[in-house]
Amino acid sequence: MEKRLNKIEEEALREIEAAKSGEELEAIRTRYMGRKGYFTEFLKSMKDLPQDQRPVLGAKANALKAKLTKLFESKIKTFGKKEGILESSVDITMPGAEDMRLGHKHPITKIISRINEIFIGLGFKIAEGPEIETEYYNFEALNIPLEHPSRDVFDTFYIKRPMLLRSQTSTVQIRVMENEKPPLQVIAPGKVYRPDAVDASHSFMFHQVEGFMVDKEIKFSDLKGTLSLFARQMFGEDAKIRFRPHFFPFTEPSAEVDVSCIMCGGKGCRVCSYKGWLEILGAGMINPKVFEAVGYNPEKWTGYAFGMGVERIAMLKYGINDIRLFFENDLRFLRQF
Amino acid sequence: MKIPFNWLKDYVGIGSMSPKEVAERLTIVGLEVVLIEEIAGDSVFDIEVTPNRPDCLSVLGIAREVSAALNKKLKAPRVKAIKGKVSQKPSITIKDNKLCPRYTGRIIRGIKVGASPKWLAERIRAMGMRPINNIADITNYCLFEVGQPTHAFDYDKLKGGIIARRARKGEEMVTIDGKKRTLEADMLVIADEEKSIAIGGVMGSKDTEVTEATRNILFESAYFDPVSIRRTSRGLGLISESSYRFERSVDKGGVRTTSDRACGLIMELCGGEAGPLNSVGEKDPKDVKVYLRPERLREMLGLDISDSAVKKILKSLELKVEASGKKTMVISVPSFRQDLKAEVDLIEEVVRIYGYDKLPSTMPTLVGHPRRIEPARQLRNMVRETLASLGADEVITYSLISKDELKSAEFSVGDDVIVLKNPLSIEQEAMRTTLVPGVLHTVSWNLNRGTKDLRIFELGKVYFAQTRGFREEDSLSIAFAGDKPYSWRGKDEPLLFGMKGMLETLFEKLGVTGVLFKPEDLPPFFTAVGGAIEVSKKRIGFLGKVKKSVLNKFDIKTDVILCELSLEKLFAHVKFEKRFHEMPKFPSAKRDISIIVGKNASYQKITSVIEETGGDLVASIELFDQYFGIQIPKGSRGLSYSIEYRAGNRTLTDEEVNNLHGRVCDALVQQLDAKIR
Repeated sequence: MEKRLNKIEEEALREIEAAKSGEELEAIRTRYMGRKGYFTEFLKSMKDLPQDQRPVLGAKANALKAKLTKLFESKIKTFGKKEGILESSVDITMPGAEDMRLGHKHPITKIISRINEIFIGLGFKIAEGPEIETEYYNFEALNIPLEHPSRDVFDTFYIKRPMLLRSQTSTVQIRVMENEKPPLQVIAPGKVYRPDAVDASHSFMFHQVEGFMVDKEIKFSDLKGTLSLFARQMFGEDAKIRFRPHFFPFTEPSAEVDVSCIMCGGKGCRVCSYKGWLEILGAGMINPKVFEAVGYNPEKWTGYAFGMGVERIAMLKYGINDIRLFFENDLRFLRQF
Repeated sequence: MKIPFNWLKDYVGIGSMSPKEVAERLTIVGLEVVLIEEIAGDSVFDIEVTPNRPDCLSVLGIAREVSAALNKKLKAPRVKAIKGKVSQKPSITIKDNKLCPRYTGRIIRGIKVGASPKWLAERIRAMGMRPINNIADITNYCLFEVGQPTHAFDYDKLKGGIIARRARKGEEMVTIDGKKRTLEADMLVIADEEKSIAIGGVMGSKDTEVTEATRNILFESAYFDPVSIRRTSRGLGLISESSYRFERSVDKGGVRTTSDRACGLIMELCGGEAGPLNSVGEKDPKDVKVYLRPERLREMLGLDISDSAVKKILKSLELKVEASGKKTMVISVPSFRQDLKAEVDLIEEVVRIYGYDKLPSTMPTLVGHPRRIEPARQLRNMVRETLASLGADEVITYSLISKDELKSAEFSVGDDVIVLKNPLSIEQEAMRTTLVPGVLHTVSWNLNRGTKDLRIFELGKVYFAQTRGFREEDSLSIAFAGDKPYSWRGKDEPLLFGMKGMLETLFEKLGVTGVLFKPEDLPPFFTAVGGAIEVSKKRIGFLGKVKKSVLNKFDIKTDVILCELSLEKLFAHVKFEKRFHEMPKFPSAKRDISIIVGKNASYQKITSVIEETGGDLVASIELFDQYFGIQIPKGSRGLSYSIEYRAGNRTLTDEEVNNLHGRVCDALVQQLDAKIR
């Protein structure tokens, strides 16, 4: 037995010495030290030895094992391989521990945070207002007469007149202006409600961010500059915006604002219906009538305001095609963000 | 609004521009062409007209816009005053001049009702309507051409003169569409001496409709109060081309001219002779004067535009520049532009036609607010961050739910539940007073779609009706379900203790201390497993295992652990100031103890006995095992603690520690009937 061990040692040393590459060395290692290697087989066969011989030979075998292991390791370094390659019994491609998984904030929360960040960076502050509102804040103070076709686009859930669920976050504009004096730079995120039947692009509950600025010399061109900056930060440096005239009772002049299609960059594709532009928000210069409603002198102050649908922005940014997904809360959806 | 391109070309010199080019121009000036349809060889624009522009609900109105946008000449149809041979004037009485400020009527005798000529029929078809007869088609033609609705009555079916009055409550009329309508007292009707013959501005009666047999007509052109028309139209659920325009307010200046225009066409196409116009109520309107300061315009827009360019644009819109002083222009606005009442309105007109695309992009002088995010918002962000970083996914469910859902979750539906007056359906008739139904619904949705391990949370408002007014309050709900073991050592109620651990981490993060979980006062939808959450003796929420009967109603087949807490109440206990505590200078000594205790000795009670007995010398208490088994009597459990003793000012001797530990053991035996193993 001892002779056999000596022979293994002799041959192993010779072969290790002669090895010319890491692969060759690894093959030698397997041949001797692998599960069915000579050395391993030798160790197995030791159980057949008489009791009294075992300890001595065992000690020798262990010494040889240590010697060979050391040799393999020092030899492998001469081939420029890193330490540890010989201990590859761990499958590093196995999945990591599930306990390390983070949860996910809702995509709407994420988009609102992003919008907030952009405007906080410009010195805006965040304001909030109640969702249960009065006709005055939701309509009259915003220059929307109660019985006028301009209210048609603001269909509203009522609790009991004059109490209603706000159909827009512009209500916060009035509440802030009633309590504070210019200059003001404010954004107001929150939930709004409209009795729209639910389909892929409509929801009776959704989120808006209202933003406005009031000071002595706020210009329409400032609105364009601010929103251009917003679009670039939200959709990327190449994003451009376009103003189209529109009508909102609380702003004059008013504009609908488009961003260059984030899919095709404006060339025209299915997402933008081959127009190259996607509508993202409504904006304008605050109507002097709104200033009058809150007791500001419209000759002294000018301001701009804008309002955007958060779901709309999220759908464009993430390529989501159905608004219902936001409120179904399927984890396969939520865990993507 | 549908606008056939060929018809438009009659009124404005478009030249060789293609429909698509014109449509693009219109869109740029704010009249968005949503669609171009090819109908019978013509391109028909579908234009989105905003409610401030009733003047654009006509081909002529759109032609004016095209004329300004393309800088091309407008060719409005020439309208001649009617000189007929009939001398009779119809008798007209306005009984309610608020609902009917102006009414004109004219008698035309000897007409021949028949099919319209081809050109007229084609125009009617291009508008998406079916030609009826020459009289009806002419009224529709004028409605589309200038935007003024008119109406022809069969004169021989009228009994006496025209009366514009309020309807009598419950008065009935069969309208031209063949439906019987029951009227209300606030609705305006046009009547003769016996009966109503039209719902003013909405629809005429079947009885007095012009038919093939009609020889003589009474031709109506009037101005009706927009609000009244809107109420009537909504009240009856009857929206007509006519009501649509009246509720947006028609051009008062078009009442008389449209009558002339239509009657001229009638005499031309249907024969007959017209009589003089009887106009009752308001006269033709005068132009309105609006001031414009070009300097203000430039300042407000941030646009460098010359006075002459401003004037040119205003003139292209048929606005007259009456006077132009150094600082102020006086602009005369014709009656068809009712939307231009103030200086800002004119400013918008200028920049709209000048081109929004030419507006420069500038940045305002930003004043900057101190970066103060109001605490509640900051705290909500922290809650979301913390829970997500602990592996929970955020959900957003509807604030509107059904009363049944509240009942299913065994919440009471009392006076504090806010109910909508006009819900879309009973599924969303009430405002949630708790996040629980929405969260359970989400649990169910996901479990039934194959999710095996679920940790979700919602942070949102709940709503209550109060004796005076309403209350909105932030609430937090977390739900765990599925087969993943979060332990206390993976044994007892792993999900429950998993959630408790999550809450404890959240409280730590928010600096909320003194939180107690009490096994009492559980809401009715919980099993006995769970407890109320208290901070400084104030109840802030609850945590527990949901009852099977409730889970069944939400179609959930596995255990669900759920909590809900009031963020407002929680935030009252938030503390962020940190104080440094020096690291201990002297070594500690640990002693282990295993005890068997009965049901009444809770972890919390055991801990307080140890703390009270050991006082300041107890540095930490660690529970490292809980066991049940054959050596333990039924209903009892074994607990193993490692207690660390330390003094702040010296090293405790072995003897001191042993004495102290001995007293702790005695206290546990005496006070909690514990057996030391």
